[in-house]
Amino acid sequence: MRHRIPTYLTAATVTTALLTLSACGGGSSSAGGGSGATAANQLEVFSWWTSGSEDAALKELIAGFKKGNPGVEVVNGAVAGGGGGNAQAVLQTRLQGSNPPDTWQTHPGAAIGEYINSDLLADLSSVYEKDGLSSAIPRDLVTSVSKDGKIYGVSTGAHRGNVLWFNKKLTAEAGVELSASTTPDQLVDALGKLKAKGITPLCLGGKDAFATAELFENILLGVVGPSGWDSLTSGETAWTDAEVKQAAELFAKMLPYADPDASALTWDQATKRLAAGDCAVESMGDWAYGELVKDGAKDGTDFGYIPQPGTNGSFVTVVDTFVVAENAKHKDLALKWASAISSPDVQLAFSKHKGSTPIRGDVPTDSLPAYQQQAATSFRGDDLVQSIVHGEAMSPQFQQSFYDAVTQFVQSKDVDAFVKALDAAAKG
Amino acid sequence: MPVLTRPAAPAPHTTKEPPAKPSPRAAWWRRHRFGIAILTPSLIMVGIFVYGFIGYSVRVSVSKWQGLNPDLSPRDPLYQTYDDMFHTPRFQADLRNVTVFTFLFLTLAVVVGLVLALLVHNALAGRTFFRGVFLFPYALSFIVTGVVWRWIFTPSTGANLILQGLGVEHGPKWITDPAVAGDVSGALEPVLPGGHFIQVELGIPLALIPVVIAASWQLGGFVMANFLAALSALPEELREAAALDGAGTVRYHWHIVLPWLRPVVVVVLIILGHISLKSFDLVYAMVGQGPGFATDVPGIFVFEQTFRALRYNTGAAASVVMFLLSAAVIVPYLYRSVIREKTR
Repeated sequence: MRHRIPTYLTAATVTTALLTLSACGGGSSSAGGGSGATAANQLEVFSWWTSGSEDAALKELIAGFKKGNPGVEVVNGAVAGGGGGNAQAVLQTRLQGSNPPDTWQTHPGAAIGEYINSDLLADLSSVYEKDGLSSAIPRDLVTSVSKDGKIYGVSTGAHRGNVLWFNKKLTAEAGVELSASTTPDQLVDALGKLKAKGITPLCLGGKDAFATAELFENILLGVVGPSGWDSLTSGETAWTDAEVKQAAELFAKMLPYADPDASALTWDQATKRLAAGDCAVESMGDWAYGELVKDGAKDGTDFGYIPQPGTNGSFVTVVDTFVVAENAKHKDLALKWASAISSPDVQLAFSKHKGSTPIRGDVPTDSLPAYQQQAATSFRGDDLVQSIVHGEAMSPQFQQSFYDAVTQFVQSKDVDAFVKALDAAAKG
Repeated sequence: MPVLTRPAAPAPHTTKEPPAKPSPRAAWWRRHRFGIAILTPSLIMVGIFVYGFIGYSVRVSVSKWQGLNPDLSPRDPLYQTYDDMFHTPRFQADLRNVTVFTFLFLTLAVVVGLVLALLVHNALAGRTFFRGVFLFPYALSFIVTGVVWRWIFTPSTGANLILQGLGVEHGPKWITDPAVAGDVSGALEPVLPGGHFIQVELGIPLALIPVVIAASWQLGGFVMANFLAALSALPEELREAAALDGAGTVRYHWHIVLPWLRPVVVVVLIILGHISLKSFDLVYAMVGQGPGFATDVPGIFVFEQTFRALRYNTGAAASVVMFLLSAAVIVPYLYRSVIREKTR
C-alpha cells in the first residue's frame, strides 16, 4: 500500500508544475500576438496603454495612421498592469533578444537615453524636417529626445505632473481656500484644518512607490524652483543641499495627514476616494483628471485643481513619446507612423481621450475640456521641468533609488539618511 | 524488466551455435541504452537551461552590467555588487521578511492542512464535496488571491467592517501596519561583523501576517490533499489494533497517524518552502513593498532592480541569493533521499 503515496505526490507535483507554468504563461499571451509578426504590411505598436481612456487614445493614433496608410495591419502589442512595469519587463526581454517591436512608447530624457545609448533607435530627424516639427514643438522637448543633433522620438501629448486636486465639498466644510497663490506652509495649515474637522486630509496611493515619490517630487520642486531643479538633476547641486533637506522636512510635515490606508491603495483607488469624499487633497499628475471624471465627479463643482503649492509657473512634463527601432522589421511603416501621430489632428484627438495637452503649439485647444485648456496654457507659457518619478530627468538607476529612499523615509522621517541615500544614488 | 524482454520462442530447427556470451560492458549497455536514450535530451536541456543559466546569472552578478547593453566585464572587486546590496536597508528587509514569512507560512499551512485533512477524512458524509471546497483556492491565480485579500485586509474596507459591527472601533491596521514586533537587531549587532551593518529592525513585521494568512488559505488545501492521500493509505488494521490495545482517539492520532504522516510533512515542507522563498506574485498583487518595506520580498527586489532600474548585476546577485536560499532547503532533502536509496 505504501507506494501509493509517492505516486500521488508525483501527480500532485506535476499538477503544481503545470499550474505554475500556465499561471506564468497567462500574462504574456496578450503580448505574444505581435511578437512573431513578419508580414510585410504590418506594424507592431507596443505600449502599456490598456485602461479605458488610454486604449481609446491609442485607437485614435492607429486611426490617424490608417487614414494615410490604408491596408496596413496595425498590431496592438499593449501589455497591461503594474503602471507600465510589466510592459517594461516584456520590452526589455525582447530588446535583449534582438526582437524589438517596430515602435514603442517611452518617455523623453533619461528614459529614451537608455535606448539611444544602446544604439537601438532609428534617427527620426527626417520626419521632423518633412513635417516642420521642430518649430511647432517646444525646443526643450526636442532636446530631450535628441542626442548629438539627431532626433529619436516623436511625442504626442504632455501630462502635467504637479497638480494638486481637491474635493470642493470637503475643503468648503473645513473653511479652507486653495488657489494658485497658496504657499506650501498654507497647504500644511489647510491639512491641519481638514484633520480637525475629522476629514482624512491627504489622499495617497502608496502601494506602488511612485505616488508617494510624486508627492515628494512636487514638494521638492516647490522649494527649489525650476532652475534649482535643473542644477539638482544635472549634478551641479548636491542632493545633500539645504534646500533638499528643507523639502524633506516639509514632506515629513505632510505625511502624518496622509490616508492611514495609503500603503494598501493604488493611485487610482486613492483618486476614487477623493471623488467619493473620503479624503480631501491629492498631489497627482493630471491622468487623475480622467479618473475623477470617470467616477462621476464634475470639474469645478465637485473637484478643483491648482498647481502644487510653490510650483505655480512650472509644468512638470510627463510626455508620451514613441520611438522607432533601428532594426525594426517594418521600418518604413514605423517612420510613417511617427509622422502620422505627430500631425495636429491626430494629436488633438489623442489628447481629448488621454487627458493630456497636445505637444504641438499650433493645435487649437478650444475644443478640449476646461481643465485641459488651462493645462495647455500653462504648457505653452510656463517653465517646463522634467519628472524624476517618470524617468525623464534622471537615470533609471537613480529613479529606483529615489523610490526606495522615499519609501524608507515615510517610515523613518530621517532627513539626513534620506538626503545621503539620494546623494549616493546620484553619484552612482 | 519483464515488460520489455519477451521470452524468445525456442527454434528447434536451427543448426547455428548459440551466441557467444556478451561482455559485461555490452550487457550493461544493452540493459541501459533505452534509459540513456530517453534521458540524454533532457539532460542536455537541463544542463543548458538550468545549470548553464545559473552559471550565467552568477557571472552577471559579478559584472558591471547596468543599463540595456550587456556588459559582462568583471567588477573590481568581484563581490562589490553583493557588498552594496547587503548594505541596502531594502535588501536587508527582504531577507528578514522572506525568512519570517517562510517560517510562519509553513507552520500555518501545515497546521491548517492537517486539521482539514483529519476533518475531511473522518467526515461521515460529503468527503468529496469538502475535499473539493478546500482544494479550490489552490486553482486560483496568486494575483486573484492577492487582489481579494488586499481588499479584506485594507483597514477601512474589509475585515475591520465586520469588527466594527461587533463593536471593535479601532481594528488592527493589517497590511498598513509598519510596526516590527520583537526587534532583536540591537542584541545581534555585536556578533555581526561590520559594526552598524544591520539597518533594519530584525523581528516580525506585522504587515506580513495578513500575507501569511492569504498564502495559507491558498495552499492549505494542497497540503490537505497530500495528507488525505497518505491517510487513505493508512491500514485500517492499525486502528483496530490500537483500539484493542486500549488507545483512545487522541493516543491513536498521536502515536499512529502523526508518525505515519511524517514523510508527507517533509515533502510538503520542501514544496511549500521553495514556493515561499521564491514568492513574488501574491505579495506583488496584495501589498507591494508595504510600509517601510515591511512586506517586500527578494522576488520583488529582483524584478524592480532588473526591469525598472536596469541594474542587471544587482538583479542577478539577488537571484543568486534566492537560489542559495532555495538550495539550503532542498539540498539536505535530496542528500537524505540519496543516502536512503544507497543504503536500501
